[in-house]
Amino acid sequence: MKTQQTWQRITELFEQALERPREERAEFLLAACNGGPELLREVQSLLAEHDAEENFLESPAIAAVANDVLADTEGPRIGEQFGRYRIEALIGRGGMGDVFLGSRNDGQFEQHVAIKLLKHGFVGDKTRLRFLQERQILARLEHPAIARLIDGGVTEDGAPFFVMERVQGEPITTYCKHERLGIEQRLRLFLKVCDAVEYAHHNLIVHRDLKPSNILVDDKGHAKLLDFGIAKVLSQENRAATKDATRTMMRAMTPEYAAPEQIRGDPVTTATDVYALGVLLYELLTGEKPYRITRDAPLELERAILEQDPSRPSTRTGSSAEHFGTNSRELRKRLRGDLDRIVLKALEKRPERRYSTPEALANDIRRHLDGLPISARGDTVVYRAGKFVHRHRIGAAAAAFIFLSLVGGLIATTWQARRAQMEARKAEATKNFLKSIFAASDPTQAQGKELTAKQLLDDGARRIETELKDQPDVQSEVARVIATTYQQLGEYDRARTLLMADLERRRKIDGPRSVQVAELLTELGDASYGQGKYDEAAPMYEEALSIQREQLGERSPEVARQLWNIAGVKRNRGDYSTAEQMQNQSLAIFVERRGEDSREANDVRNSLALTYADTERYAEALALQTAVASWYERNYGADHPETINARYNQASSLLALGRAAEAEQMFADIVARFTRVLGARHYKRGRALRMWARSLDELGRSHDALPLINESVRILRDHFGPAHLEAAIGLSWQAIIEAHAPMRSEAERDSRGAFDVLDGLKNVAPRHAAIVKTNCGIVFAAIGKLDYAERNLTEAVALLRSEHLEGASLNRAQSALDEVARRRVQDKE
Amino acid sequence: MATDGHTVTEMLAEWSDSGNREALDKLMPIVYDELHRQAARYLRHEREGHTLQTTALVHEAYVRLIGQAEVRWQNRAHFFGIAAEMMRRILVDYARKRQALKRGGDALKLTLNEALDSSSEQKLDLISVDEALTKLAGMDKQQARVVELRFFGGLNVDETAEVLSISPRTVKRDWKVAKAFIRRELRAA
Repeated sequence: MKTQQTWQRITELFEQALERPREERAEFLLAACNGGPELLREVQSLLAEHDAEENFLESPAIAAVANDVLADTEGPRIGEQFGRYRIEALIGRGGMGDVFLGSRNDGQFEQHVAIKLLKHGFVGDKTRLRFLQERQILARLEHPAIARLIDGGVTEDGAPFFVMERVQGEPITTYCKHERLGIEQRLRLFLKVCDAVEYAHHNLIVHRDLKPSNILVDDKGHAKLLDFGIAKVLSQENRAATKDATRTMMRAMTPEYAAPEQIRGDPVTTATDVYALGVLLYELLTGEKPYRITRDAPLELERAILEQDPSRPSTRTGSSAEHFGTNSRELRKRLRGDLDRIVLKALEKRPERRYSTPEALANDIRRHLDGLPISARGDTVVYRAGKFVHRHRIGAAAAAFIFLSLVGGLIATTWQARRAQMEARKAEATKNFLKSIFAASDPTQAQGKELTAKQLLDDGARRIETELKDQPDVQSEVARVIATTYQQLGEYDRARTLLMADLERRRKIDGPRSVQVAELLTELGDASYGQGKYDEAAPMYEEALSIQREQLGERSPEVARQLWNIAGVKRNRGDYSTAEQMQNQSLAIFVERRGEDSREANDVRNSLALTYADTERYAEALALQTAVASWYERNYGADHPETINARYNQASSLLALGRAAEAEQMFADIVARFTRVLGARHYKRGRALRMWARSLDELGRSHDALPLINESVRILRDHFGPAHLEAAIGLSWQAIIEAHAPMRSEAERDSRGAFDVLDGLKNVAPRHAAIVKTNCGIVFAAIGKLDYAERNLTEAVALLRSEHLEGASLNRAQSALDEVARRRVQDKE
Repeated sequence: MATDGHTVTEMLAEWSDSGNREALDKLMPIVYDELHRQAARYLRHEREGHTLQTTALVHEAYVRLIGQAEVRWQNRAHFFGIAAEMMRRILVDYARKRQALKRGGDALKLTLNEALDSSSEQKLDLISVDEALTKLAGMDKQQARVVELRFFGGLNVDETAEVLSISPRTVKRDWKVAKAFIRRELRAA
């Protein structure tokens, strides 16, 4: 090794030589080295290396191992365990990631799912948290035309994945072509897609990547949308990235369906989905994509999306009329006019010129189908763009930014949803104010402090009172947007405070007996009801009801809805006779105003059935539950969670009526459906397993029931925790079945376990406590502990009588008590 | 850097002076983010998508950083100086492990890797770079540090200058000669 001095000399000469033009270097070095051949050779060879490759080491070390990393992580994943699922096969590859068929085997049930592994994900701890929040929002989507998100998480090596309902079908465009659907059939199918997207928007979720391959149609002709919200997760993964990265990602994401704002990296809103629906509609109606480009180059396509005006659909019918079962002249005629205008309005370059919501687009199509004039004709109201939220692109990842963009997204979509109902002036003022809230998230204004989402909203809420006091309408709008966002974040109290202040304001402005005040009261009541605060909800509903009776009439649907609300409160407080009476009134009005088969009538029937079941009037409950379940099945399909819930209620009444054989068959089916639809560990499946086990036990098949009740207890304990009422009830039924098996020591252990859990709980409803005590009493009696049995059963009887529950439960407890008394007499003899 | 340097420095000081766990908890996500950002930037650039393992690498850096309890962080520059050193150790370790694995065999995997590797350009041997860098440090510490910060730490010229408290011009000069030296060493090997 050379000495430090020698190396220093070499370095100096190297640098001096580099400062000279290349042709002078040799001469310079010869003179400088002055007879030191080794020094000369040394510097010359370094210069040669320098000249040979400028790029050497210029990309950092981490890039050098990227390929190895790739090689190590690539490769078949078949057979690998992925979270709780086993990978069965690769079923698709896309820009966003690979899709696998997964299965989950929990002993007797096998559930097939689609697992999407995203490959763009970098997941740090904060991102992980946000990802989980996102997943919760997505999991709320329950719609017959949206593939359900079952699970999601992050793999050990940091890639986010989604587990989704597996949908088998073909892309909507291919389906229409194969089936040779005519224009009207295509429009009707498209309307279903619009409804699903609208539903998601109401739940504050924008799809962002709608395209035929995400919209599958099954062999029964039902459309299902896949990948809701996933694009958003993706784009937030890239939050720290520049427009370059956004563009790169866009390329991964099928630019054919991308809206201009997505190409530009501008904020994505509900109008972005409207655009994608426009592209889809274009393709469904013409068989062609909207833009004609000469080369298959992404850049050219991007330019077309930004600049080219698409031709009217009626001019693009040349090649494909046969797929519509018609000729091209007919097809042209059909498209000219309304449909041209509708499609082009959805495809407007500027989001504010498009239909504001998928529903608005759908309404125009419905109007067209009904032969009514459409709104896209003539002047359009120009709404100002909702570009306020994502404006503030922060270069690096501010700690709060993730939350801000989440909250921003919530606010943006909430506002979008409300915007349609606002006049332009009010909309503009509301937008400006919301924008100013987010200006504070700009690091230059935040002064180094990290603002949390809550602080930001709090700040906005405070400023409503001061800065907007001259614009009460805008005050209300902003208050409602922020209140909704609070609720999304679980900040119910803050939401309530805000809405209460707004209520006072509306009372002054619109008058205390105005319809607007009644609406706001209902909203407040709903918020309290949703939290289980019935005492708070009741006066709100009552006041709203009295206003609505006065302003809208006794038989108005609003009054019916309010009666239904109040009945819910009454039932939850145990005032069953009032609840029943109000539900019957509500039902009568809905049947009269909305029809026998309306959703509203069905909802009320469902509630009324609950009232009957709570009061152990199972025959009456069963009649309604059967009707409700078939309504759901007709409207949502047999596998929809709501349908399965309704079937569960129906089967429960069957079991209570002693029709165990019918109940057993139904519960077996319900458990299988829950497994498929919600997953094997879902608490609803846990409850259904318990009911199935009870039905089998009732039929004298205790040994078949045992594994089921064991699994049920396990699931419910995992879900609710070991010290929860569900655990106590589960254990007590397990003890009953064990006593029948007969497995005396297990039965004794579990009934004591159930009793201990119950003992540690506060505020248990008497009827629930009575179930546990009755079960424990029966088990104690069976194993000869008559003192224990008598005490428990006596308490159970007292509890039931205090609640005026004098039906099946009381009979069961009382007859067990009588049995104990008889045994005592026998023992004495 | 998202949070300004001042705050990070304060948190660093609080942690290394008093061993305050809370300060560390607050700090780590920020450090992690920064390391992460660097890794992400280059890997995205280099190759779309396949970023999984990078996270694990950075994770390792993070764990080691926490392990450096006795270090007194003076400021942000100091911190990223240390971080670059971490990255060097981690990446070279990774390369060594991988080499050992290849030698050990697992024929199927090897074939697969080679097939994939053939598409990428000539590969850089990190282990040799590391050895050359150690040799360079014996002759000129500053030049070696410049390489460490730029090549392993992913810092740009100005950031490197800040960390070493020298001028950007000096960084550029050191960088050129150091690169030439390392390249020659690699070819001789």
